[in-house]
Parts: sequence; C-alpha cells; structure tokens
Amino acid sequence: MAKVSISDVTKSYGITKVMHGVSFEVQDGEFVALVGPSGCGKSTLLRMIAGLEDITSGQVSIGERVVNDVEPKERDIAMVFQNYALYPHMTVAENMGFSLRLRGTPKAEVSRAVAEAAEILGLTPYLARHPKALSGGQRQRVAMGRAIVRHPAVFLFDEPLSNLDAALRVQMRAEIRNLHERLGSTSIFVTHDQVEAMTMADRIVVMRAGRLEQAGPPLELYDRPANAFVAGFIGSPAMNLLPAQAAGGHVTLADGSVLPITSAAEGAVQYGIRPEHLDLVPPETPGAMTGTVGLIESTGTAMFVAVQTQGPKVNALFSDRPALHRGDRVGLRPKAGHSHVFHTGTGERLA
Amino acid sequence: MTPRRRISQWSRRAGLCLGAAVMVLWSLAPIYWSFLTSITPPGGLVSSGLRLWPEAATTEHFAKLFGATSVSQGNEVQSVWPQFSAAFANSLITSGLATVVTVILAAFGAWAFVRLSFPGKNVIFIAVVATLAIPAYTVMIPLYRLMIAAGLIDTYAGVTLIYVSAFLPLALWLMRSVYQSMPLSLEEAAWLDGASKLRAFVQVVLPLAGPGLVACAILTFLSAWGQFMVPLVFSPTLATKPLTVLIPEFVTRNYVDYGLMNAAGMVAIVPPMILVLFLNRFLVQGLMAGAGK
Repeated sequence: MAKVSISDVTKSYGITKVMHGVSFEVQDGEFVALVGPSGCGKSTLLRMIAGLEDITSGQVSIGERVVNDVEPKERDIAMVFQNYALYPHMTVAENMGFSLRLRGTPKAEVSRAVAEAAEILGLTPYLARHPKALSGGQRQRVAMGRAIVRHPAVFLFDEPLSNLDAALRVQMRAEIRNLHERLGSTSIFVTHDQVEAMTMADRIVVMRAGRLEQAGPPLELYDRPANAFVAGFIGSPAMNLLPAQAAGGHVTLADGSVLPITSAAEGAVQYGIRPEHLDLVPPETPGAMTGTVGLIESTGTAMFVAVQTQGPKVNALFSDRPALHRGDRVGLRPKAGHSHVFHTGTGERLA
Repeated sequence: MTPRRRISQWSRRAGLCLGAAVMVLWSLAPIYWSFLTSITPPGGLVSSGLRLWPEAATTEHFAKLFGATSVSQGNEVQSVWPQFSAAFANSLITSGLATVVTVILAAFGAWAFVRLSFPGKNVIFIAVVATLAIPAYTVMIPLYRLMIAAGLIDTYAGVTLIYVSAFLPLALWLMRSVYQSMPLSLEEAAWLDGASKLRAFVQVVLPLAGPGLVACAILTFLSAWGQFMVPLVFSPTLATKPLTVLIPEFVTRNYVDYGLMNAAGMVAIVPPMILVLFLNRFLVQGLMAGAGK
C-alpha cells in the first residue's frame, strides 16, 4: 500500500507537447478515477505511472520513492490492460501465478496465492483452462486476478471494462469496487465513461488535452464544477450551457427569459443548469424559459425531453412522467440554487 | 434448394476438384516418374512407349546405393554407398546447422528490429532485406576469394555461414512481421509482472512466435537441402559435398545411370519430407487466441 504523487508531469513526443504539467496525489488506499475524452492524456499518464512511458519532466513517486527512472518491474505495481493482455499459452492458474513464479516464490506458496485470488474472483473452476476457452468477462477477471495475486502497492486499471457488454460492465463495476474495499489497495482507474468514474471512485481527476481540469470527490464535481468543461463532462445527460447576459443577480437568456442566479457575475456569461434541475411550469411563467417540446425519450425511470426555446435548445429530465407530447408549449423553471455561471471566454466558474 | 442452384453448386465443386487434381498431378507426377525410374531395370528405361509400371520391377539401383557390391552392366562393381552416405550426412549437417543458426538469429534479431530503438534501425533492416535482390552468382567470385582467405573452403562452418547469410534476410523479414502482429501489451504485462525484457521475450513472446519459427525452419531447411551452386563451388570434396552435387556425378563418360540417380533422389526426398510432416503440427493458427477481449 502506498500513496502516489504526480507533480508537474509533462510529456512530449519530439516537439509536440501532449501533457502540460499535471499534478495530483492519490492517498494510500484511495480509489481515483482518471477521466476525460479520448486523447486527453489519461492513459498516457497511467502508463507513465506504470513506467511504460518516459516522463519528459516532473516527478512521479510511489510511496516515498521517486520512480521516474525505476524499471516497471521494480515499481511494485500491477496493471489491468484494456485488452487484458493474458498470456495465451498459459492456463488461468499459470497466468495468475506468473509474477510470483518470476520472483522465485515456492510452488506451494504460488498455488495457495492463486487459489485464494481465484476464490475471490470466482475463477476456481477455470484454473486449468486457457484464456481462449473463457468468456470476455472471465478473461477480465483473470486479468484482475493476475494483478491481485501478488498484493502490489498500487493497482492501475486502463479502461478495463470498455470491452464488456453493458450488463456485465455494471456487474464488474460493483465487483471492482468491492474488491477495492476488501483489499484496501491504492487504485487508479482510467476511463472515458463518466458514469464509471462517478460510481466507482473516491475521487475523480478530470483531464482534457493534457491538462488537469478538476480533481475532487464525485459529488463535488457534480455540484460545483470548476469550469464549463467539467460541468458538461460530469453528469448524464449533460448540463445545459446557455449564453446569457448577467447583471444584478439575474441572467437574461437569448430568448429574453430572465432567471435568478446566486453569482455576482456581470456581463456576458455561460449559464449552466442540469436537465434534472428543471421544473415543468406553465408557459410564460416568470423566472422560467418557455419553449416547444421536441424529442421525448423515456427510459421508464426518467423522461428526457428536448425543448426548443426561442433561443437555444434546452434538455430537461423528469422523473414523474408528465403527460407531454411533441409540439406542446411548456415552461422550464430552474430549481433554486442549482444554477451555475461560467466565464464565456475562459469557461471558469464565476462565484 | 432449386435444381438450378444445385447444378451451379455441383459444377463449382467439380471445377474445384478438377483444379486440385491438376495441381496434385503437376507436383506429384515428377516424383512418381523418378520413383518409376528407380525401380525399372536399365534395359527398360530405353524402351519405347510410356509405362506406368515397369514390366519387371527391380531393386538393383537401390542395391547399388546401399549394398557393398552390386552388378552393373554384367560386371560386379563397388557400390556407391561410401560416397552416398557421406554426402547424405553432409547434406543433413549443413542444412541442419544452417537452419538452427538462421532460426536462432532471426528469432532474436527480428525482435530487436521490432522492439528496440537504435539509430538507423529501419535503414539497417532494409539493407539486410535488400540483399535478397542480389543474384547469388554475382557474389560467387568475391565470396570464393574471401572463403579461401578465411580458410573456410570445404568446411561445414564455411558452407553454413554462406547459407545463413543467404537465408537470414527472409527469415528476419518473416519473424519481424510475426512480432509486429503481436500486441505490445503482452510484453508490457510481463514487465509489470516482474520480468526483464529478455525474460518477457523468452517466456512470453517466443512461445507465441512458435508457428513463425517453424515456418522459418522449414523454409531454411528446404532451401539449404536443395542448394546446388554454392556447394558445387565451396564443397569440392566429400568432406562437405552434399547429395545435390554428388548425384549428378553418377553421370560417367560412357554411361548415364538414370536408375541410380533416381534411386538416390528418392532417398534424398525423405529427410525434408519427415521434417515437414513433423513440424507441420506446430504450424497451427490461432496460438494468439485468448490474449485479448
């Protein structure tokens, strides 16, 4: 068990700089999700922690040790790869015991550790099989088994669930989380799926284009996104971000509706309101937006409605199944205290 | 199934069978011809008309090969067994050595060309592969002088060296594409599991490269076994002379012993055949199945 510190890490390929000074810490035993759109550098950062990529500048430490120049095999970390990377010529037991065998652990000890890990992961009946005789979910589990069998200081997960179908992904999400609680090991989990990040992590690190956008507990990111990017990225469906003019505790939207804000911002801003924070009210209600109902998507637990206002389109999410039809005119009133205001140019949150 | 579709399917199958039959005939007929010649008495060889089986099959040519003495044209003569066995052994030794050395060098060298980064990596690789385009006879004379200077004429080491330099580029090329098709994450997983680069290569990459190595071995062995020009120049005596050079020497001034030549040829087919049949089992596809999703 160890804490991981990333300080001012950069990465360049030739003259192309892809990571611009990222710093954060992962506490001992913490489960941190690195999340961001494709190409944001989250996998590169994970591979730098693993030692599979060189660090151009900055420092990575595991425990109290700076590992910039430490070989991957000396870092005491285990990694679950996106494509699992199981050794096809070895059985499940051999795959899981490979690292211990490399360390010269006695045979009896290896099989005991493998049996224990297999027990945890429900792989006991499959120990003698080769990976090709396993399903996708089982292979995923073997990849995790290979990681947990030797009790490393840090677990790294590189989008391990992206190859599974939706139902299995939800199940594995819970299993990984349970495993983490059981082993109490420091874990860093890379994903592009913000739902995975929200549901699994103690803390989320949001990245974009090689920069850290915000780091914090999931609900903090949801409640107080530091900028418009995080606001749009965290939460599903995404937050409505509407151009507006702010003055004296109110914003005026493009369609002329005037909405209250808690921010003291003045001038051109981006007004943010989550779809689930809109109440259905009669059209033309003061302090609400008015528009025409467009596409309606119902999942049973919630109803997703796209409303075309005079200005931009606004998405709303209702859990009480209002009787709405395409073409209806409705009013949407933000719940008090749930609005966000961001700077139009920099996207920074305005208090 | 409609009759029309049945007919078209039937005719497609008939065409396929015909094509296969032509190809089998094309490749097996010369071998059968050679076998036929090897069991036909000398007199029968000059008879007119095509015979698919000799009037009186004989083992006299094989007896000449294997026996201590034999009868040739009515006279008792020394058999060619001493020369034949020496040449057979030479063929086995030079081809075997060339195969082992080439496969080992290609296995490690190609990996270096794929996974290591060093200056001029691609230039060097292209230069090595480009030597495939140089016709062998253009280098024969300088090579001969070189081998004389090195004292390697008519030695196993010399012939093996030439074979390796000739067959290594193709083997390297083949192994490089084998390694290139292998996901790097397998090796990375091994590194994180605590393996050194060499260990990851030997314990994870090499076992999975098996089919590629077998293909290299077969290609190299067959090419070396069939070599004629190199040993003709570099193996002047029975110290290293292989079958390919010895067998044509059965042509004497007064008499061409077709029977003996073909009997020797039939025996010479056996080692490569055994090798291919044996290694064929390892030439399986799908060894990589199960590595990923």
